[in-house]
Amino acid sequence: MKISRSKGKKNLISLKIDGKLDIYTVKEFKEQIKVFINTNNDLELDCQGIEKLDSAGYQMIVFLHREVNEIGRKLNIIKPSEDMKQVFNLYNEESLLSE
Amino acid sequence: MGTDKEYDFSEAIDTFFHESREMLEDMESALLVLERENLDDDSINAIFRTAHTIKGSAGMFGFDDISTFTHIVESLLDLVRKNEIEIDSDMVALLFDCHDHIFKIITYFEKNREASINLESRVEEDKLISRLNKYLNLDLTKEEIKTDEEVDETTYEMNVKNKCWHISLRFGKDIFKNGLDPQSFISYLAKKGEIVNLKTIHHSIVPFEDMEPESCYLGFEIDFYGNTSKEQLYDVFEFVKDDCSIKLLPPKSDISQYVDLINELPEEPMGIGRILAEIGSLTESELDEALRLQKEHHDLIGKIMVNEKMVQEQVVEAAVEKQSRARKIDEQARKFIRVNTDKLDSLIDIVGELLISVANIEQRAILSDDVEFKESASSLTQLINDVRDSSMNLRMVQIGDSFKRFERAVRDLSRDSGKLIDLKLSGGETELDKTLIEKLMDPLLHIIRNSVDHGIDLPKNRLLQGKPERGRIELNAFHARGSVVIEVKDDGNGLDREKIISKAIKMDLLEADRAESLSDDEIYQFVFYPGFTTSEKVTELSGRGVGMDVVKRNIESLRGSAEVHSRKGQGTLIRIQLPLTLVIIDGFLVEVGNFNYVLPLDIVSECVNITKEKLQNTENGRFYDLRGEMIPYVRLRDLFSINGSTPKRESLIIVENRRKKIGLVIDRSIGEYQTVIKPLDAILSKIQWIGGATILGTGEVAMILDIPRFVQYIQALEAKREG
Repeated sequence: MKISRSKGKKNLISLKIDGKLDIYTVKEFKEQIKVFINTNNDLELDCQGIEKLDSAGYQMIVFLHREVNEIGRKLNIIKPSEDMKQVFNLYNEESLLSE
Repeated sequence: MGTDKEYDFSEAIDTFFHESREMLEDMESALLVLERENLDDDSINAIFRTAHTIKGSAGMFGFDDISTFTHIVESLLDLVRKNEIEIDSDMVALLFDCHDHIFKIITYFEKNREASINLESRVEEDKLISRLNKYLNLDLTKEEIKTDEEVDETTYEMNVKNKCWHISLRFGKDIFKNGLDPQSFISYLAKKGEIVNLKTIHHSIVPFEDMEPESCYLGFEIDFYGNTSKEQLYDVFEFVKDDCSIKLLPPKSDISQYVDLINELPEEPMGIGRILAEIGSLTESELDEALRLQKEHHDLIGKIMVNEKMVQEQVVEAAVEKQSRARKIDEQARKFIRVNTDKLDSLIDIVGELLISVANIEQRAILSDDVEFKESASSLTQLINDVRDSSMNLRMVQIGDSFKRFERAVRDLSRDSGKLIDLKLSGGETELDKTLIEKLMDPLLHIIRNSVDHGIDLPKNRLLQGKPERGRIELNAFHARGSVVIEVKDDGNGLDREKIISKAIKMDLLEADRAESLSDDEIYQFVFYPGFTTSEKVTELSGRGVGMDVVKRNIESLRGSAEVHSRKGQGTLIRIQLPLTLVIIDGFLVEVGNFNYVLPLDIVSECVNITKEKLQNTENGRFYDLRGEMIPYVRLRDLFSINGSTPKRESLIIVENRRKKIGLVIDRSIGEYQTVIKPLDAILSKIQWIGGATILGTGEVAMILDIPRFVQYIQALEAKREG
C-alpha cells in the first residue's frame, strides 16, 4: 500500500493510494495519512489504484472523512476503484464517494 | 401455537442454573481482583457480562425476581464500565453482597422452581437495592416500579407498522483481528431476502487519534424483508454470535420492543431513534411514542423482556446456548465436557476387572510355549496399563480450582477478625483424585480458619513483634514419592509448647514427668485430640476443640496422615500426606508361607537376600546391618503366626516411609504387581494397617499392607512387649 502525493492546487493536498487497503495495511495507512490532516488544506484521495478494500479499509476511510470534516475541511474521494465502490455500495455509503 | 411434543424445559433450566453458578464464581474471582486493583477493566467487564447474561436468561425462563435484581446490578456496572461512575472499595463491597444475594436466590429457585421470592430475601434485596440506587440516583424501589408497570401495561399493545424485520448489529472490537468481515454477513443476509435499508453506525465515538485501525467500530441498523424466522436470522450470524451484539425485532413488533432496543443500544436514544425513523423502521409518530415510553420506564427493561410474547422454544434454547458460550472468557478455547461421576466410577470398575483378567492371561503366557501367544499377551498387558493410566487420569482434577475457593474464605475471615492476611497459593496444577479433593475441603478450611483465628495476630501486634503488618498463609500442594502432600503454613504465633503440655496434663493425656522427654512434634500431636484447645477465645467454629480431631479423622479415612510443625512466635506448618489414588496402585508382591502380601511399590526401597549373620537380635530390638546402617526389622512369619517351616533362604524387604527405614523378612519376593484395590469387608477393615486386598491372577487373595500404619502397629506391639 503506497500513498503518493501529486502536485495539488492551493489549499488542496492531492494524494493517490495504490495497493490494498485492508486489515493488513490500515495501520500503516493511518500513520501515513495523518500528517496530511490539517486545518489549512482540503484532501483529495485518488483511489483508482485500490486493488482491494475490506471493512477495515472502509472503516478507515469513514473515520478519515469524519476527522477531516471535524476540523472544518473537505475530503474528496475521486475515481473509486470497482472494489471500493462495491463495498461502499453494500454499506449504503456511496454518497461518500464522488464520481 | 401447538406443538406435538411439549418442549421439555427442565433440562434447559438445569443448565441455566448450573451455568449461572459458574458465572457467579467467575464474578467472585473478578471481584477479588477488583478489591486489590480498582481499575481493572477486564474484571469490570467480566462482572458486567455475568450480570447481563444472568439477567437475560433468567428473564427468558420467567425467573423475574432474579432478572429484575440482576438488571439493577447490571445498570450500575454499565455506568462503571463506561467510566461514568468511579468504582471504589465501598462499591466493591456492595457488589460482593449483591453477588451473594444473587447466589442465594438462584439456589433458592433451583429448589423451588414455582415459588416466588420469600420475605426474608425480599427484605434483604430491598436493602441492597437502596444501596445500589444511591449510585444510580434512582429512588424507586422495586415495589414502586411494579405498580407503575401495571398501570401502563395497556399502552404496550401498540404494534408498529413496520413489515420488515429490524436488525441491529454491533460488531465486536476484535472481529477484524479474528479474520472476520461484516461484509460477508451482510451479503449473506441480502441473499436471504431483501435488505430494504441499511445504515452504518460508528458506534464508538473514538477520536481519530485514539482509534485503532485494526479494531472494529462498526455497527448497522438494518431493515430486512424476508420470509424467515428469528432463528434463521440468528443463524446468518452464526460465526460472529460471540463477538457481536445482535438484536432482532420481527415485523409488526410491539412498540415496547423498540423501546428496549433504544435502551439497549449503546448510542444515545434520540440519535438512535432518529436513525430508526430514517431507515423506516418506525414512523415519526411511533418514534415519538417510543422515546416517550423509553424515558419514563428506563429501568423496566428486564420486566419487559419477560413479557415478550414471542418467546419460542428455539429462542429459549438459543438464549441458554448463548449464556453457555458467554462462559468463554479465556481467549484460549477450553475444551471440556461434563461427565457424570457415576459413569467414571463404572468405567474404573470395569478397568479393574480387566486388569485382573489380563493378569490371568499373563500367567498362562509365562507358562506357555506359544511364542505368538506370549507376544500377544505382552502387548495386551502394555495396552491395559495404558488404559489404566488414562482412566485413572480421568478422575484426576487439578487442586488449584478448589484452592481458589479459599481466597474468598480468607478474605471474609480476615475482615471479620480485623486482621490483614494474604493467601498465597502454589502447586495448583497438582492433580488429585476428584473424591479426595472434595473430602479435603472441609479439613483444609478448618485448618485455615485456625490460622486466621489463633495463628495470625492483629496487625498492630505483628508490628510490635517486628513482623510485617500483613499476615501470610501459604497453601501448597505437590507430589512426593507416590503421595500428594498439601501444606498449610502461616507466619503467625506458632504453637505454644508449654500451653499444650499443661493442657494435656489437665486432660490426663500426659504425665508431667514424661513431658520433658517428648519432642516438639510429639507434643504438637496433642492438638489432634478430641476436645483439645488451648485458646482462650472461642470463635464461631474454632477454639471449641472439636475441629482438629475431626480433621485428623477425615484425613485418615482417606488413608492419609497429618503432621504439625511449629515454632513459637514464627508460625505453624500443617502437612497432610495422601495417597495418590484410592483404587489402583503399583504394588510389590511378596510371599510368606502360603500367603501373599502386597506392598506399595513406591515405598519399597530395596530387596536383599539375607544372611543369618547380619540379623541381630539384641535387647533393644531386632536390627539388620545394611551396609553399616542398622535397620529395625520384623519377621512377617512370626508376626502373622504363619505355620510351616522357615525356608532356608529368606529375603528382607526394606521399606522407607518418611525417611525411616524398616525391614520386613519374607520368604520370597515375587515382583512388581498391578494392584487393583478391593475394599475389605467391614470386619477386616477395622485393621488399620491393611489397606485393602487384591485378587491375584491365580485367583488367590493378597492383603495390601499400609506401611505407615503397619509401622505404627509394630511400634505399638513393641511398646506393649516392653511395658
